[in-house]
Amino acid sequence: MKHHAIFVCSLDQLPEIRAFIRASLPGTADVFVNQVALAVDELFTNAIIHSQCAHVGRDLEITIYTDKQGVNLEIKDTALPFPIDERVQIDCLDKIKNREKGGLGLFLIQQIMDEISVQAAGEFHIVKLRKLY
Amino acid sequence: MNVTIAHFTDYTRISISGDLDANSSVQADEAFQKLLADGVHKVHIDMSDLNYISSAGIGVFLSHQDEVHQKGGLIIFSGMNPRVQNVFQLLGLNAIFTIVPDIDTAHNLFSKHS
Repeated sequence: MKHHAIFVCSLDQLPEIRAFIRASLPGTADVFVNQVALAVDELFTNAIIHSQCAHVGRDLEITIYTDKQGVNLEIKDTALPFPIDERVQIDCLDKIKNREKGGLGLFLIQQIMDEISVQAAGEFHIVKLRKLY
Repeated sequence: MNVTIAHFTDYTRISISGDLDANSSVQADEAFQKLLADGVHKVHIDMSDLNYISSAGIGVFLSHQDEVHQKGGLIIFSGMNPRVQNVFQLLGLNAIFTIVPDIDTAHNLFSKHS
């Protein structure tokens, strides 16, 4: 079964977004569900911070469904395109030394998900994520 | 998300409860910055009531680690649930940060560090 939801483009929505993911994956291992919720949280946070969606009242749409092998997500947003499917590496020791706060989200998404792709659809981008059980 | 501060002889404990995400991490960061400005540099992060953490929450601790270290201080984390622990592991931070199971172990470590 597909679960679909639309959220206002605001960081205030993050708890509701995570609750939606958890409710869409009943009976699934807790840490696995948290990883999926975390990846979506990071993606939405990136979209909210790096796009103008909050200023123009655009919404963020998400669809989630499962199959025998894993969980599939489609996230439609108006964020500026970023290379979510290009592998990144981080060095947390460097980040500590440079007293950096950011730059971890994309790495986490890539650590968690098994497949990542981005499609342009007019003024929108559709990010597709897949995580195997 | 709630942040509670408690001062002890050897260290200061920050207890964080609820969800620490890009929205709520601002409050946690302000609390941490104020402690450092007040001269606190032995910090116990009690996560026993922390339900969830994202990269923004992790960033708060990452960005203050160097300042604490430079002042001869120490940050010790305790009480992580398996979900929170897993996020630290995904980033390889379990090998960098001092993470202990509970409050008592953290207390003993600070006593030894004094």
